[in-house]
Amino acid sequence: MNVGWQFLIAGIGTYLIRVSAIALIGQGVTIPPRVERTLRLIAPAVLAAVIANGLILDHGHVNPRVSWYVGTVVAVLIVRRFRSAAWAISLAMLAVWALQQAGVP
Amino acid sequence: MQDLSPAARTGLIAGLKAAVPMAVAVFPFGLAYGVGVAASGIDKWVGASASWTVLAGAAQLSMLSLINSHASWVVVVTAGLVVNARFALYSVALAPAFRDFPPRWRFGLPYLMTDQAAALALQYFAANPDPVTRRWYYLSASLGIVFAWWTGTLVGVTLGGAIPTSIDIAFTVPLIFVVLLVPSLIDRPGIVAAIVGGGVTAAAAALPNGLNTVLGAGVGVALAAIVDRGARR
Repeated sequence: MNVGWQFLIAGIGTYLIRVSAIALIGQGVTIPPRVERTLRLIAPAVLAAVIANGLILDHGHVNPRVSWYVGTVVAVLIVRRFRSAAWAISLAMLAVWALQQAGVP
Repeated sequence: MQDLSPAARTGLIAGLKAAVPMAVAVFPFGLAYGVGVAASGIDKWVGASASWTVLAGAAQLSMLSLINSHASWVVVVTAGLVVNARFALYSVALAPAFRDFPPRWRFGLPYLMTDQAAALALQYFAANPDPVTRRWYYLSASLGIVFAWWTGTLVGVTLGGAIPTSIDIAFTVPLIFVVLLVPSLIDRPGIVAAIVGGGVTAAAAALPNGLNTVLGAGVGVALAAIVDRGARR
Protein backbone atom coordinates (compact mmCIF):
# COMPACT_ATOMS: atom_id res chain seq x y z
CA MET A 1 0.00 0.00 0.00
CA ASN A 2 1.10 3.58 -0.77
CA VAL A 3 3.09 5.06 2.16
CA GLY A 4 0.86 8.15 2.31
CA TRP A 5 -2.21 5.93 2.87
CA GLN A 6 -0.38 4.08 5.66
CA PHE A 7 0.22 7.40 7.44
CA LEU A 8 -3.39 8.47 6.85
CA ILE A 9 -4.86 5.25 8.29
CA ALA A 10 -2.51 5.43 11.29
CA GLY A 11 -3.49 9.10 11.67
CA ILE A 12 -7.24 8.37 11.72
CA GLY A 13 -6.64 5.54 14.21
CA THR A 14 -4.51 7.82 16.37
CA TYR A 15 -7.22 10.51 16.41
CA LEU A 16 -9.76 7.91 17.53
CA ILE A 17 -7.42 6.87 20.37
CA ARG A 18 -6.91 10.52 21.37
CA VAL A 19 -10.63 11.30 21.43
CA SER A 20 -11.76 7.93 22.90
CA ALA A 21 -12.43 8.60 26.58
CA ILE A 22 -13.12 12.30 25.96
CA ALA A 23 -15.98 11.38 23.60
CA LEU A 24 -17.41 8.69 25.91
CA ILE A 25 -17.41 10.88 29.00
CA GLY A 26 -19.05 13.71 27.05
CA GLN A 27 -21.95 11.32 26.33
CA GLY A 28 -23.01 11.32 29.99
CA VAL A 29 -20.64 8.63 31.26
CA THR A 30 -19.19 9.96 34.54
CA ILE A 31 -16.08 9.17 36.57
CA PRO A 32 -16.18 8.41 40.32
CA PRO A 33 -13.90 10.69 42.46
CA ARG A 34 -11.65 7.77 43.45
CA VAL A 35 -10.92 7.03 39.78
CA GLU A 36 -10.27 10.73 39.16
CA ARG A 37 -7.54 10.62 41.83
CA THR A 38 -5.96 7.67 40.07
CA LEU A 39 -6.00 9.50 36.73
CA ARG A 40 -3.44 12.05 37.86
CA LEU A 41 -0.97 9.17 38.27
CA ILE A 42 -1.12 8.47 34.52
CA ALA A 43 1.22 11.30 33.46
CA PRO A 44 4.22 10.32 35.68
CA ALA A 45 3.83 6.61 34.82
CA VAL A 46 3.60 7.16 31.05
CA LEU A 47 6.39 9.78 30.94
CA ALA A 48 8.73 7.52 32.95
CA ALA A 49 7.91 4.58 30.66
CA VAL A 50 8.70 6.63 27.53
CA ILE A 51 11.95 7.85 29.17
CA ALA A 52 12.98 4.28 30.04
CA ASN A 53 12.41 3.27 26.42
CA GLY A 54 14.33 6.18 24.91
CA LEU A 55 17.08 6.72 27.48
CA ILE A 56 17.87 3.47 29.29
CA LEU A 57 17.11 1.18 26.34
CA ASP A 58 18.56 1.19 22.86
CA HIS A 59 16.97 -1.40 20.54
CA GLY A 60 16.14 -3.64 23.50
CA HIS A 61 19.56 -3.44 25.17
CA VAL A 62 21.00 -1.12 27.85
CA ASN A 63 21.95 2.20 26.25
CA PRO A 64 25.78 2.58 26.35
CA ARG A 65 25.75 6.38 25.85
CA VAL A 66 27.22 7.73 29.13
CA SER A 67 26.90 11.34 27.91
CA TRP A 68 23.10 10.95 27.78
CA TYR A 69 22.96 9.90 31.44
CA VAL A 70 25.11 12.88 32.47
CA GLY A 71 22.91 15.18 30.36
CA THR A 72 19.83 13.78 32.09
CA VAL A 73 21.28 14.48 35.56
CA VAL A 74 22.10 18.06 34.45
CA ALA A 75 18.50 18.53 33.24
CA VAL A 76 16.95 17.11 36.44
CA LEU A 77 19.11 19.35 38.69
CA ILE A 78 18.28 22.50 36.71
CA VAL A 79 14.55 21.80 36.54
CA ARG A 80 14.38 21.08 40.27
CA ARG A 81 16.48 24.10 41.29
CA PHE A 82 15.36 26.76 38.80
CA ARG A 83 12.08 25.35 37.38
CA SER A 84 13.15 26.35 33.87
CA ALA A 85 12.56 23.85 31.08
CA ALA A 86 14.34 26.02 28.50
CA TRP A 87 17.56 26.27 30.56
CA ALA A 88 17.44 22.59 31.46
CA ILE A 89 17.14 21.52 27.82
CA SER A 90 19.78 23.95 26.50
CA LEU A 91 22.39 23.17 29.16
CA ALA A 92 21.78 19.41 29.01
CA MET A 93 22.27 19.47 25.22
CA LEU A 94 25.42 21.54 25.70
CA ALA A 95 26.75 19.05 28.31
CA VAL A 96 26.12 16.11 25.95
CA TRP A 97 27.80 17.93 23.07
CA ALA A 98 30.86 18.81 25.22
CA LEU A 99 31.22 15.26 26.58
CA GLN A 100 30.95 13.74 23.11
CA GLN A 101 33.52 16.22 21.79
CA ALA A 102 35.80 15.03 24.63
CA GLY A 103 35.39 11.43 23.48
CA VAL A 104 32.80 10.22 26.02
CA PRO A 105 30.34 7.84 24.28
CA MET B 1 -7.38 39.30 20.77
CA GLN B 2 -9.64 42.17 21.95
CA ASP B 3 -12.73 39.99 21.38
CA LEU B 4 -11.54 37.42 23.89
CA SER B 5 -12.93 37.36 27.42
CA PRO B 6 -10.42 37.91 30.26
CA ALA B 7 -10.71 34.20 31.18
CA ALA B 8 -9.88 33.16 27.60
CA ARG B 9 -6.98 35.59 27.41
CA THR B 10 -5.53 34.30 30.71
CA GLY B 11 -5.54 30.74 29.35
CA LEU B 12 -4.21 31.75 25.94
CA ILE B 13 -1.22 33.63 27.36
CA ALA B 14 -0.41 31.01 30.01
CA GLY B 15 -0.55 28.29 27.35
CA LEU B 16 1.79 30.16 25.00
CA LYS B 17 4.27 30.80 27.82
CA ALA B 18 4.27 27.12 28.78
CA ALA B 19 4.61 26.06 25.13
CA VAL B 20 7.76 28.07 24.38
CA PRO B 21 10.38 25.86 26.13
CA MET B 22 8.58 22.74 24.85
CA ALA B 23 8.52 24.13 21.30
CA VAL B 24 12.25 24.92 21.53
CA ALA B 25 12.86 21.28 22.45
CA VAL B 26 10.36 19.77 19.98
CA PHE B 27 11.72 21.70 16.99
CA PRO B 28 15.01 19.71 16.75
CA PHE B 29 13.03 16.48 17.20
CA GLY B 30 10.84 17.48 14.22
CA LEU B 31 14.01 18.40 12.39
CA ALA B 32 15.40 14.92 13.13
CA TYR B 33 12.23 13.33 11.72
CA GLY B 34 12.43 15.49 8.58
CA VAL B 35 16.10 14.61 8.10
CA GLY B 36 15.18 10.94 8.58
CA VAL B 37 12.53 11.22 5.85
CA ALA B 38 14.99 12.93 3.51
CA ALA B 39 17.51 10.16 4.17
CA SER B 40 14.95 7.39 3.50
CA GLY B 41 13.83 6.31 0.04
CA ILE B 42 10.23 7.61 0.31
CA ASP B 43 8.89 10.78 -1.29
CA LYS B 44 9.83 13.57 1.13
CA TRP B 45 6.45 15.34 1.03
CA VAL B 46 4.60 12.07 1.65
CA GLY B 47 6.93 11.47 4.60
CA ALA B 48 6.36 15.01 5.88
CA SER B 49 2.56 14.56 5.60
CA ALA B 50 2.72 12.17 8.59
CA SER B 51 3.42 15.20 10.80
CA TRP B 52 -0.13 16.36 9.94
CA THR B 53 -1.96 13.01 9.82
CA VAL B 54 -0.28 11.01 12.62
CA LEU B 55 1.13 14.03 14.50
CA ALA B 56 3.13 11.97 17.00
CA GLY B 57 6.94 11.84 16.91
CA ALA B 58 7.69 8.44 18.42
CA ALA B 59 5.04 6.74 16.24
CA GLN B 60 6.22 8.50 13.06
CA LEU B 61 9.85 7.52 13.69
CA SER B 62 8.83 3.90 14.42
CA MET B 63 6.70 3.76 11.24
CA LEU B 64 9.47 5.34 9.15
CA SER B 65 12.04 2.81 10.34
CA LEU B 66 9.63 -0.07 9.53
CA ILE B 67 8.89 1.39 6.07
CA ASN B 68 12.65 1.63 5.52
CA SER B 69 12.98 -2.08 6.37
CA HIS B 70 10.14 -2.92 3.91
CA ALA B 71 7.65 -4.11 6.56
CA SER B 72 4.08 -4.85 5.39
CA TRP B 73 1.56 -2.00 5.73
CA VAL B 74 -0.32 -3.93 8.42
CA VAL B 75 2.84 -4.04 10.58
CA VAL B 76 3.62 -0.36 9.92
CA VAL B 77 0.11 0.86 10.81
CA THR B 78 -0.20 -1.45 13.82
CA ALA B 79 3.18 -0.31 15.19
CA GLY B 80 2.11 3.34 14.89
CA LEU B 81 -1.16 2.66 16.72
CA VAL B 82 0.49 0.60 19.48
CA VAL B 83 3.08 3.33 20.11
CA ASN B 84 0.18 5.80 20.31
CA ALA B 85 -1.95 3.63 22.61
CA ARG B 86 -0.70 5.76 25.54
CA PHE B 87 -2.88 8.63 24.22
CA ALA B 88 -5.89 6.64 25.48
CA LEU B 89 -4.51 7.15 29.01
CA TYR B 90 -4.21 10.92 28.46
CA SER B 91 -7.72 10.90 27.00
CA VAL B 92 -9.02 9.33 30.22
CA ALA B 93 -7.03 11.77 32.36
CA LEU B 94 -8.19 14.85 30.40
CA ALA B 95 -11.81 13.73 29.95
CA PRO B 96 -13.20 15.24 33.19
CA ALA B 97 -11.93 18.70 32.14
CA PHE B 98 -12.97 18.32 28.47
CA ARG B 99 -16.53 17.36 29.55
CA ASP B 100 -17.18 21.06 30.20
CA PHE B 101 -16.01 22.19 26.72
CA PRO B 102 -18.41 22.87 23.79
CA PRO B 103 -18.54 19.91 21.29
CA ARG B 104 -16.46 21.65 18.63
CA TRP B 105 -13.61 22.12 21.15
CA ARG B 106 -14.12 18.69 22.70
CA PHE B 107 -13.68 16.92 19.36
CA GLY B 108 -11.19 19.35 17.78
CA LEU B 109 -8.62 19.73 20.57
CA PRO B 110 -7.77 15.99 20.86
CA TYR B 111 -6.27 16.15 17.34
CA LEU B 112 -3.52 18.35 18.87
CA MET B 113 -2.85 15.98 21.79
CA THR B 114 0.83 15.31 22.49
CA ASP B 115 2.69 13.99 25.55
CA GLN B 116 3.91 17.51 26.24
CA ALA B 117 0.50 19.20 25.87
CA ALA B 118 -1.22 16.57 28.01
CA ALA B 119 1.39 16.86 30.78
CA LEU B 120 1.25 20.68 30.75
CA ALA B 121 -2.56 20.72 30.68
CA LEU B 122 -2.95 18.25 33.55
CA GLN B 123 -0.63 20.40 35.70
CA TYR B 124 -2.44 23.62 34.75
CA PHE B 125 -5.97 22.20 35.08
CA ALA B 126 -5.22 21.10 38.66
CA ALA B 127 -4.87 24.76 39.70
CA ASN B 128 -7.29 26.42 37.23
CA PRO B 129 -10.91 25.20 37.32
CA ASP B 130 -12.46 27.66 34.81
CA PRO B 131 -13.45 25.76 31.61
CA VAL B 132 -12.94 28.79 29.32
CA THR B 133 -9.42 29.42 30.67
CA ARG B 134 -8.69 25.71 30.40
CA ARG B 135 -9.73 25.28 26.78
CA TRP B 136 -7.80 28.35 25.61
CA TYR B 137 -4.78 27.16 27.58
CA TYR B 138 -4.97 23.75 25.92
CA LEU B 139 -5.40 25.29 22.46
CA SER B 140 -2.45 27.68 22.69
CA ALA B 141 -0.10 25.27 24.50
CA SER B 142 -0.76 22.35 22.15
CA LEU B 143 -0.77 24.51 19.01
CA GLY B 144 2.55 26.10 20.03
CA ILE B 145 4.14 22.65 20.46
CA VAL B 146 2.61 21.23 17.27
CA PHE B 147 3.66 24.30 15.27
CA ALA B 148 7.30 23.61 16.26
CA TRP B 149 6.82 19.99 15.16
CA TRP B 150 5.45 21.05 11.76
CA THR B 151 8.16 23.67 11.21
CA GLY B 152 10.90 21.26 12.29
CA THR B 153 9.62 18.61 9.87
CA LEU B 154 9.51 21.04 6.93
CA VAL B 155 12.98 22.44 7.63
CA GLY B 156 14.31 18.89 8.08
CA VAL B 157 12.99 17.49 4.78
CA THR B 158 14.16 20.64 2.97
CA LEU B 159 17.67 20.85 4.42
CA GLY B 160 18.22 17.10 4.57
CA GLY B 161 21.72 16.22 5.71
CA ALA B 162 22.98 19.80 6.27
CA ILE B 163 22.82 19.50 10.10
CA PRO B 164 26.25 18.88 11.69
CA THR B 165 26.49 15.31 12.94
CA SER B 166 28.35 16.52 16.06
CA ILE B 167 24.95 17.60 17.49
CA ASP B 168 23.25 14.52 18.95
CA ILE B 169 19.65 15.36 17.97
CA ALA B 170 18.36 11.97 19.13
CA PHE B 171 18.97 12.95 22.79
CA THR B 172 16.30 15.69 22.60
CA VAL B 173 13.57 13.01 22.62
CA PRO B 174 14.16 11.49 26.09
CA LEU B 175 15.32 14.91 27.35
CA ILE B 176 11.94 16.52 26.65
CA PHE B 177 10.19 13.79 28.64
CA VAL B 178 12.61 14.12 31.59
CA VAL B 179 11.93 17.85 31.83
CA LEU B 180 8.18 17.17 31.80
CA LEU B 181 8.35 14.37 34.37
CA VAL B 182 10.35 16.04 37.16
CA PRO B 183 7.77 18.70 38.19
CA SER B 184 5.04 16.04 38.50
CA LEU B 185 6.99 14.11 41.17
CA ILE B 186 5.50 15.92 44.16
CA ASP B 187 4.05 13.12 46.32
CA ARG B 188 4.66 9.47 47.07
CA PRO B 189 2.07 7.98 44.66
CA GLY B 190 3.46 10.07 41.79
CA ILE B 191 7.03 8.95 42.55
CA VAL B 192 5.91 5.29 42.77
CA ALA B 193 4.09 5.65 39.42
CA ALA B 194 7.27 6.94 37.78
CA ILE B 195 9.73 4.45 39.31
CA VAL B 196 7.50 1.42 38.61
CA GLY B 197 6.50 2.72 35.15
CA GLY B 198 10.12 3.22 34.11
CA GLY B 199 11.42 0.08 35.85
CA VAL B 200 8.85 -2.30 34.35
CA THR B 201 9.33 -0.77 30.89
CA ALA B 202 13.10 -1.35 31.08
CA ALA B 203 12.67 -4.87 32.49
CA ALA B 204 10.19 -5.78 29.71
CA ALA B 205 12.57 -4.61 26.97
CA ALA B 206 12.10 -7.89 25.08
CA LEU B 207 8.46 -7.07 24.21
CA PRO B 208 8.13 -5.83 20.60
CA ASN B 209 6.62 -2.64 19.11
CA GLY B 210 6.67 -0.50 22.24
CA LEU B 211 4.36 -2.86 24.15
CA ASN B 212 6.81 -2.65 27.08
CA THR B 213 5.90 1.05 27.39
CA VAL B 214 2.18 0.27 27.60
CA LEU B 215 2.80 -2.53 30.14
CA GLY B 216 5.15 -0.37 32.25
CA ALA B 217 2.76 2.58 32.37
CA GLY B 218 -0.19 0.30 33.23
CA VAL B 219 1.60 -1.45 36.10
CA GLY B 220 2.97 1.91 37.33
CA VAL B 221 -0.50 3.46 37.57
CA ALA B 222 -1.96 0.33 39.23
CA LEU B 223 0.70 0.09 41.96
CA ALA B 224 0.70 3.85 42.60
CA ALA B 225 -3.08 3.76 43.00
CA ILE B 226 -2.71 1.04 45.67
CA VAL B 227 -0.08 3.18 47.49
CA ASP B 228 -2.39 6.20 47.22
CA ARG B 229 -5.32 4.28 48.69
CA GLY B 230 -3.15 2.92 51.53
CA ALA B 231 -1.90 6.41 52.42
CA ARG B 232 -5.44 7.81 52.64
CA ARG B 233 -6.80 5.03 54.85
